[in-house]
Amino acid sequence: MNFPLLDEIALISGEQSFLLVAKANERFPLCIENPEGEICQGVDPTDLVVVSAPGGGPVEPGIMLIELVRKHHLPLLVLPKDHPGSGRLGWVISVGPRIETNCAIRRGTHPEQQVICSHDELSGLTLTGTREGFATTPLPGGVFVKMLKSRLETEFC
Amino acid sequence: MCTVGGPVDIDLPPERVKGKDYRCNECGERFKGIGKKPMCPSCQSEDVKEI
Repeated sequence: MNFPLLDEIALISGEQSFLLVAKANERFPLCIENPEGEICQGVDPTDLVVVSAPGGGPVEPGIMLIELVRKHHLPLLVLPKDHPGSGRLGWVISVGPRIETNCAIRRGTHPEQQVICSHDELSGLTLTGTREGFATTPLPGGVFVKMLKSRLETEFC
Repeated sequence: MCTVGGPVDIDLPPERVKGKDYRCNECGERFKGIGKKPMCPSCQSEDVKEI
């Protein structure tokens, strides 16, 4: 299944969880800070920026997370294995040309950008960035895709 | 569902995120990079060399 994407964000929604999929849209170095040190990944415009909310909740924090990374190049922080803070992460993010969802990893503890933690209802999907947008392996029944547009405006007073 | 607090956590091959050592030819920054087209994290130059 192919979906066109420019500046929009695709919401892949299940009953209890969701994914947000966006294009990186520019080339930049993404630093991944993990217990062993720092690794920097060259991001391409066609790469995907994917947020997963395995426990559901509002989409706005996920959108903010996408924009912090793709527009402001915020480094990614990876927790050590078995870190107690893992359970407090409501939204996790991965960036790369191809990202697989997996329900058998712990949130925020994997530096590998080709996998992202998800609820089991969205587990096993492969999302691939394309020139026009992104492609996904077939979605399970009951899962739908909607396109979102969001902008953050600040007014000084 | 996601294994927060549970006993399961798959292990991925560690070499997938080991990275290679690079030096930036423009600013001299040394860094570990992954991916096909590494970029300098300090000056964003693509003129980097594996060391």
